[in-house]
Amino acid sequence: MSGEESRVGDAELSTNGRVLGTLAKLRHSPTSVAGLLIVAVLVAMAIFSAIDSFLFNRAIITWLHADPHAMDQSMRYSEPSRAHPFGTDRYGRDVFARIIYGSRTALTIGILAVGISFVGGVIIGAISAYFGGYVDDGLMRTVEVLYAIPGLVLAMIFMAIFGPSIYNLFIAYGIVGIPAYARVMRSEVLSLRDRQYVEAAKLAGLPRRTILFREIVPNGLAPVVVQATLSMGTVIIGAAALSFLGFGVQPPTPDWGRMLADGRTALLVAWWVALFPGIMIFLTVMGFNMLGDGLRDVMDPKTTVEDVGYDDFDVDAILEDDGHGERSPDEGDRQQAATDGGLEQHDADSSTTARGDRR
Amino acid sequence: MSLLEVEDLQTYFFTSDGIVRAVDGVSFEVETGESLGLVGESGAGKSVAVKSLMGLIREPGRIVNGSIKYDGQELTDLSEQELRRDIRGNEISIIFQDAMSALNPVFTVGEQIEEVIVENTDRSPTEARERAIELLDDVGIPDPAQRIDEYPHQYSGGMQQRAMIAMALACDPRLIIADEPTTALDVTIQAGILELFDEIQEKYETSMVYVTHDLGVVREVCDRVAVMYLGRVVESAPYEELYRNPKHPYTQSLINSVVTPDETLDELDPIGGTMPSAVSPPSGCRFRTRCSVEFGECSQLTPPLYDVGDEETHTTACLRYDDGVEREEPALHESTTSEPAVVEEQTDD
Amino acid sequence: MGLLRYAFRRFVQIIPVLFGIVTLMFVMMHALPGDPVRLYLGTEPGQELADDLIASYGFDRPLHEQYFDYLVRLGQGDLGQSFVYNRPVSDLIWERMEPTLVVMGLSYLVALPMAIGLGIYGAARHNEAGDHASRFAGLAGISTPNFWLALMLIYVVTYHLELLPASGYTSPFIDPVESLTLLIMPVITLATAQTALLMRMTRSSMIEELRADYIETARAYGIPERKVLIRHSFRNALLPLVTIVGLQVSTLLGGSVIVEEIFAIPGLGRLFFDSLIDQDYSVAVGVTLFFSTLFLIGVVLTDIAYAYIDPRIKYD
Repeated sequence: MSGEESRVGDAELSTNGRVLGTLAKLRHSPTSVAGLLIVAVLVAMAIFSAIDSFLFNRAIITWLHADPHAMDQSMRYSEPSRAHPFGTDRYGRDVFARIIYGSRTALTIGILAVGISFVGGVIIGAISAYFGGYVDDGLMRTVEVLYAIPGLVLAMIFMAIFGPSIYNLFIAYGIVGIPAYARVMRSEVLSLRDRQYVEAAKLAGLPRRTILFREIVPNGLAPVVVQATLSMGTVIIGAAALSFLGFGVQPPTPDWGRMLADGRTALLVAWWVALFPGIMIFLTVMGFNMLGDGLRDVMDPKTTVEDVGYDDFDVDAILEDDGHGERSPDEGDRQQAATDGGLEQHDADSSTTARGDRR
Repeated sequence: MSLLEVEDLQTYFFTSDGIVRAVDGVSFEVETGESLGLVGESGAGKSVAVKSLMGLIREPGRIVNGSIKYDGQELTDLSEQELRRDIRGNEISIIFQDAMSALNPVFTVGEQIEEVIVENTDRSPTEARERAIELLDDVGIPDPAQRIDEYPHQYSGGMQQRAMIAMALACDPRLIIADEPTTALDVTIQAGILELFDEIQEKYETSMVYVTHDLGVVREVCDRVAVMYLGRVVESAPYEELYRNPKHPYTQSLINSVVTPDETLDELDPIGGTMPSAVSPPSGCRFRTRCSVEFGECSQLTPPLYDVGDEETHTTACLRYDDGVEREEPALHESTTSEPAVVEEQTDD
Repeated sequence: MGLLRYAFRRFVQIIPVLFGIVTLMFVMMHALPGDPVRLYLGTEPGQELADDLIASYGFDRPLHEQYFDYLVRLGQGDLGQSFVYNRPVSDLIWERMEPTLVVMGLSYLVALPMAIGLGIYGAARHNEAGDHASRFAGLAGISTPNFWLALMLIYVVTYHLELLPASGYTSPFIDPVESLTLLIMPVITLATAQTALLMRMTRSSMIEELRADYIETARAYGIPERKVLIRHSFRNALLPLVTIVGLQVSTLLGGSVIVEEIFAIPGLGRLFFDSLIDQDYSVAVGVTLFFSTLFLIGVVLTDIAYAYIDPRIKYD
């Protein structure tokens, strides 16, 4: 990935260019378009709920459909009907309205938790790789400690100690996620830090912090972004699991995991209370995963002829549009050998056997 | 009769960015015992051409047209099964550029050579092992009986390529294709490998197609040379003839761009411009966009290979040789003595 | 032998990580408002009783002393005492270990062969209908929340079809048949996401392997396609898969908390869940340490397997 040999000033510019190009190329993948669509609908639902809840005190949704908080003991556990397409729950609240409001909770937690993991992971990973030595050892050992505790277990302990609330929930998952990002960022920076433009920046006398965060990190972000998209799903499921177990979002905030927990107690009499929130979680996670899959495919340097650079039409190089799977960062470079007027030059060192960076 | 006759071979790749005409009407022949050099820049389609011979082109690539006659047999008619059983490994074998990645990292060198022998011949595993040791000895691996059990990563770059050559020789093929076998190697190691090619050709009497971008390498191992440019053969001649008397402007500039010890850098004449894309190649003569002697007709007429040789076969695809002799202005095609140039169909993308 | 020494070294490397986890747990526990005793005794404890307890657990001493003591006791294999059960934590863990390991082991047993089969199938049929279907199924699998899947299974299989019981556990070593009927749904719940994830991994690494130069070599030398797929590609594709299998121990342990809670299986996950609800923190910490140790051992084992499969790994 990120195989371009940009010069000192170009680093950020080329990253932006690549992000735009990437989005344009997503069109070709039906999966990611579907994923993007699902995510877009979800975001719209969440924004609607937020506006409705803060500015209009749930007036719009009440006018459109039903108040997600309004209890009506006479309507306890009523089956899906025209008035309540997804039925009602224990307190006679409309499940459909609560599901719409639940999107806000799910997305908020997802975005904030991923944001915390992203920023934390990028900083730790970048510093670790760039400075190496004791800094690297110390940071990576710490990250390893976090990584060694099963995510759900760590998050549950955190919630038990600091109390169940939506804030603690996204902080918990934010921390749980840091190791994965730190590792991805670290290996990206390791592969980028000896590039020519980095050398040039060093020779130009730029401070190390500037070099790291303005020249190297932006160029290594692509796989981290993919990681973020793919882990949105994991975080949303995880947060729902915590709420399901009673360690997360507390009533009366509408939350899909919490709704599932209610559905569990009423499974025999009211299947709908458990079915629909689960479907929502599934669709949401599916949307993010489809989008992430598509992003990963598109950011793969080997997918189109344009990217291949016509390197003697190596059969492997032009293979399929719908390519898949992660590749070692080295591979992109091999395809870069340009047809530069003279005859071809090959880097002998592009065929290293390094499989990821294993210690 | 020639061992291999390739005629009008077209191999295209159907990608979302358009059809890549990687090989677009290539013709060449290889006589028994002969060594043909296939020369061209990267992107010329050399690799695709030779992989087409063995049916190694995979989706989205396909041989769309042309004939490949090996020992009188039409290879394009064979099924994958037949190719595998009758041709690959035992009749034609191929040596790849990067031996390090062409050898499977998780098997020993011996296991890989033995497997090829067992799959393609009726030798027993024990016999295959003996044969493999013999082969490794032949290609100059020291201590072959020990080193046969080592993994590719335990070999040096040069030795990996030697092991690859041993594998190519394993089932006594009559044709060996060498796809840039020395490009990834240091110059000193390269010399050793080239010497080895000479030796094995003598000892095993195989024919060879040697793909390279390096005219200097061609001189070491090849009897005859076919120069490729953007999916086509533009000139073909015995090495000495080609070197002394290049006809096609592309060949001329290729030879001029080779550094020899008695030249100063000023005398070098690199080829200007870059090779156009094979998705939308220029109409007519494909070299015309970089040619210094382009005429008006060059954009309309696709030059076939004209005979320009005196006693030996020397052909070139340049309109200036329309009737076999060079001239300043190309004649219009009605007055041609050889086959008329074809009017190029308009390529739409 | 090199591999043995490598294994030993990798196992030794677990120790500092465990040490880190212990420290983290200690810090988190002492970040609690109040102290565990008061939490345990509730809002109106008799002062005397509380003081006794505090003294007997050493909570009145300076933090660094407590930490040091804690380490020493851990070093002796003493994970502390449960407030609720009034028994050593290590005894509890030992008793509750079997169900968790059985459910996890069965999940791997179900997930791995299915994932590998489907993954190879997808890679061999790359971009054909079968591949698209398996790819979609894989995505759906990793997107399904396991707790929801469990509820739906219970609703359909237990309530409607009345096929399988929805809760409880019997050891397969005591009554294999009954055990199996109780284990089917928990194992499906855990194995679904597992299968999907491993399948995706197998598929993508097989696709990558099938593009490798040495695969082209094998094809160019007349090796039959079946052997190319199974012998040449899979052996290499196995490498990333092995790593993931090790890392997945963590996900499965997390999943066991959910599955054991829903299906009322008296395993470690359930013990952990209950201990948090009861604020029986020495149990929670003990189970966490045990989980982490299991995970780290899993990772080391896969590293060793990796080194064994890939001759390029130098382990000295």
